[in-house]
Amino acid sequence: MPNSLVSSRNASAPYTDEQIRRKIDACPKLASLQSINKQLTSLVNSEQSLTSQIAEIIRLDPSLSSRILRMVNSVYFGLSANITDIEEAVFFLGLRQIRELSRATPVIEELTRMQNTQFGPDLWKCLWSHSIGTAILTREILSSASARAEDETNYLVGLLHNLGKIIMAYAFPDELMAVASTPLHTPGEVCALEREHIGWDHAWIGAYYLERHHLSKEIVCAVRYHNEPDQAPEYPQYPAAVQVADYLVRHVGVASGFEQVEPVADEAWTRLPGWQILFGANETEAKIARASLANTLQRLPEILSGLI
Amino acid sequence: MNDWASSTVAQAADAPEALLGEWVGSRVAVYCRDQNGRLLAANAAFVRRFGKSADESAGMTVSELVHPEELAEFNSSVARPPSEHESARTHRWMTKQGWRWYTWEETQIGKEGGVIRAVGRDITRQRLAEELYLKLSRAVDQSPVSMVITDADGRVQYVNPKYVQVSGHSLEDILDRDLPVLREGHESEESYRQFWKTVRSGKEWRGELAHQKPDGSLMWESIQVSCLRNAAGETTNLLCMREDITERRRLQEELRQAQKMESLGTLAGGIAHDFNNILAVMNGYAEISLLHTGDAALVQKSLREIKRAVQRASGLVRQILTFSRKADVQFSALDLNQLVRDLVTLLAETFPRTVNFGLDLQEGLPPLLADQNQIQQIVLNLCVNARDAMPEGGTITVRTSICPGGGLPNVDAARDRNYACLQVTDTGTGMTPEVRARIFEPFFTTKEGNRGTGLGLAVVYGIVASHRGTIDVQSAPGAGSTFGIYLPLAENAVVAPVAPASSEFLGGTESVLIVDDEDGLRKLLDTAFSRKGYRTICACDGLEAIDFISNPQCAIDAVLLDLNMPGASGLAVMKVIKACRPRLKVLVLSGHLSPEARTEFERLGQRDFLLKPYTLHDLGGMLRKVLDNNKSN
Repeated sequence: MPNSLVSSRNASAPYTDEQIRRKIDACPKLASLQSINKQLTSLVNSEQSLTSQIAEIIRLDPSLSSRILRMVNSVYFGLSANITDIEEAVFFLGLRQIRELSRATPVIEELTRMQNTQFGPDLWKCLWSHSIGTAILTREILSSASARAEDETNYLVGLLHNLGKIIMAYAFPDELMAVASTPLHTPGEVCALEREHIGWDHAWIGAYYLERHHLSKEIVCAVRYHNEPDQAPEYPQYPAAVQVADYLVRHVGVASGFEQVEPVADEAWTRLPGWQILFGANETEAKIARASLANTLQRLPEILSGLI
Repeated sequence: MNDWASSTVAQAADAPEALLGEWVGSRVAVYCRDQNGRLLAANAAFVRRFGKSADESAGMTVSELVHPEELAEFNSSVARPPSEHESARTHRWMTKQGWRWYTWEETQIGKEGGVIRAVGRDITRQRLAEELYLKLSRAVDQSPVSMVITDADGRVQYVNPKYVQVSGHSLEDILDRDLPVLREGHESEESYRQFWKTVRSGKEWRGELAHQKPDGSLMWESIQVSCLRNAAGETTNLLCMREDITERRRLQEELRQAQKMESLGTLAGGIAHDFNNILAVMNGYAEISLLHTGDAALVQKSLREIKRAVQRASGLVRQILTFSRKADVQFSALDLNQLVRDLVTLLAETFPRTVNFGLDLQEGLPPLLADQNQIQQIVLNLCVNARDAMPEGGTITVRTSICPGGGLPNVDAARDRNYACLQVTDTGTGMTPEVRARIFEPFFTTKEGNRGTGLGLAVVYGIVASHRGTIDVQSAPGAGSTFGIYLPLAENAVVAPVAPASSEFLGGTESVLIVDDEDGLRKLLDTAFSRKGYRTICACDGLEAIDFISNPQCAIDAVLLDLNMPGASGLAVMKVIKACRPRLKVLVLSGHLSPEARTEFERLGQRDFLLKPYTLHDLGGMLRKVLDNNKSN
C-alpha cells in the first residue's frame, strides 16, 4: 500500500500501520449472505446456467465480487488490462472455479449462529442492501454525469465502497462494535471515530485490501476517497459519485450497517464535495441529474427488497 | 399487417436502398426485414456472402438462410428488435461457403418501426476457438493427472480439479496464501534453484518428489514441468504435471524384493554345492583325526582345516542372509573385484557346464561406495541374463576397470570423478535394437514361459540409478551383448579390514548359564568356557532354563541365551529373567534376529546380541564385556 492511500494518520492510534496491514492480510475468505450463496450454488450446479445469470448474482455481493475480481486479476496479472467486469471474470475463470468459489464461501448466517458473534445477520443484510443500492445509484449518477463509456467499474465502486467494514468485522471486531454503538451525525464522523480506535478507517482498510489483490486503480481510488472525493489524486468522478449515491441511499432509509448515523435530509447531497465535482460546472446537467435521480430513488426501496 | 407497417413496407418497395442508409456501400453485411421476416433490402456485402441478389431475394423470408437448429429461436424474435439488455443475436447462416456463425446487431428504423435493420459479422473463427477452448478446458478438468499452469515466474494461474483434490488447495487458497506450488516437494533450496535453472534455460524438468499430504501421510509424485511458449518463442507459462506414484513406488519396492528372492533361487544351487564341499572337507579331516588320535601334529592340522571350512561356511550363510533380508540400503566401501570373484565362483558351480566364466579384473581397483547386497544383485542378474542368452553355451566374461567420468559414453556423469566399470559380456544371441530399447522396462522379457519375471534389468537399472551410476549396452543379433555398469569410486573410503583372528580370549570365574537346544553347540560352549575357568550350567531348552533361573539357590552371573527353542522361546526366558532376576546379565545368541524380535528384546532392556555364526573368540570377548559392564554398573 503506497503511503498516499494512508494520509493524516492518527498518531495516537493503538495499532501501527504494520500491525493493521498484518491483521488485514490474515483475514480469511470474506463471508456472503446465505440467500445469495444459495442462488449461486444452484446456478453453478446446473449445467444450463448462463454466464450472465451467474454474474447477475455475484454482482449482488460485495464479498463475492471482490473475491472473484481478485482471482481473475491475479491469474491474468500483468498480462492485460485489469478485468473489472464480473461477467468477463466468470467467463475467464470458468464455471468450475466459480463452483469451487461458492463451495468455499463462508455464510454469514452460519457464522453468526456458530460463533455467537456480536454482529447479527441483520447488520450484515443492512450493509448488503446499502452496498447494492449505492452501486445502482453510482452507476446512475455516472451515466448522467459524463459521457464515459458504459463500464462495470461504475457499479463496482459503489458495491465495494464499504468492503472495509466486512474486513473490520474479522480483523477489528471490537473496534467495529465500539463504532457501531456510538450515535453520530455524519459518515465523516464514523471515519474519524474509526481512525481513533484503529488508526485507519474503513475506506483505507478496504482500499488496502483491494489494491493488494490487484483490483483496478479506479476501484481502489474510489473506495479510498469515497468520503472525501475532493482529496482524490486521480479519477475523482468515481469517489464523487459514490459519495452522492451513499447519501441518496441513506436518504431513502437504507442506512449502512455497523453504524448509527442520523438520516440524511432532502437535497443534502447537493452540498457535498462529490456533487460539486460531478455537476458543479454545469447547471443544466445538475438539473437533469436531479430529475433522473428522483425517479430512481422512488423505485430503489422496492428494487432492494426484492434482491436480498 | 397493420397500417403503419404496411406503409413502411410500401416505402421500402419503392426505394429499398434507402432503408440501408449509410450501410449501402459498407463491407459489412447488412439487410433490412419487415416484421414477418421478409427481406426488404440487402447491401452488396450481404449479396456477396449469401448469394442472394436483390432480384433473387425479392419476397424471400430471411429465415430460409438460418440453420434449422436455430430457426425456432430466430423466428420467435423475428418481429422485435433486441431489447436494451440483450446482446446481439448469434445464429448459423448459410453462406456461399456453407454454414457460418453470424452475429447480428439489430435496430428498428423508421419512425413507426416495423422495419428492422441488421448488421452482421462473421464470428465463426471466434466461435470455434471458444468451443475448442471449452472442449480442451473440460478435458484438462477431467484429467487424472494433477495440472498446474503458472506464469513464467511461477505465479499460479490455473489448477485442475485433480490438483485441488490431491493437494486440498483451491486456486483461491493458493492466491490467498501465496502458496509456493512449484517449490513443494523440493527437499532443499539448492534443488529448487537447480529446477529453476533448468526451466529458465527452456528445458523440461522431471523429477520424483515426496511431500506430505494434508492428512499427514507421505506422497510421492512424479513431476514434469515444461515451458509454454507464445508465437515469438518466449516462455509465457509453465505447465506442471504431477502424478501420484506412491502406490507405484510401493509396488516397485515389493517387486524388487520379489526379484531378489528369484535371484536367491539361482544362488541356492550354488550354495548347496559349496556346502556339500565344505561338509566333505570337514568330514574328511574329522575322520583322519579319529583314525590318527596319536599323531598330535596331524590332528592339529586337521582341526585347522576344519576350522577354515567352518569359516567359509559361515561366510556363505552370512552372504545368503544379507542378500535375502529386506535390509536398509547401506553404503559402505566395497572391493568390487573380491565381490565378483566370490559370486562367479558360486555361479560357476550352478550354471550349466557349457557356460564358461572368464575374469579380467583390473588389479588395485579403488573401493566403491556402494551397498554390497545391491551390487551382488547387479552381478547376479547380469550373469543370469548372459547365461539365458546362451542356450547352447558360451563364455561369460566379467571385466572390471577404472574409467574417468569424462570418458563415459552418452551419460551425464561427473566429469571430474573416476568410475569403476563393470562389464559383463556374453557370446550369446544378442539383441535387436527394438529389444535393446525396452530391456530396462519392468516386466519386459524375451524369456519363454515363466522363466523370468522381466524385472531383472529393471532392478539393475534402479540400483545403478540409486548409486548415481550409469549403464550402457552394446549388442547386435548374433554378436552377443555387453552390459557396462559405471559406478562412482569412493573418494576417501577404506575397505573395512578383516579383524585378525586370535584363538585366545579372556576367561573368568563367574557362573554362566548356557541355554541352547543344539546338543553339539551346548557341549562346545560348555567345554570352551569351563576350560577358561567359568562355572557352567547347561539348560537344553527354555523350560529347563526357567527352572534354573527361578531357583534362588542357583547362582548365575550371566546367561548365554539362544532364541529359537522348543518349549519356551528365548523371549519367554527373557521375560522370566526380567521378573525374577532383573539385574542378571544376558547375551542373546541368534542365527537370525528379525527387527520385530529385536525391538521386543530392547523393550525388555536387552542390549547385547551376537549373531550366529560366531567364533569362540568373539563370544568369549563379548561375554567378558557383558560381565564387566555388570560390575562397573
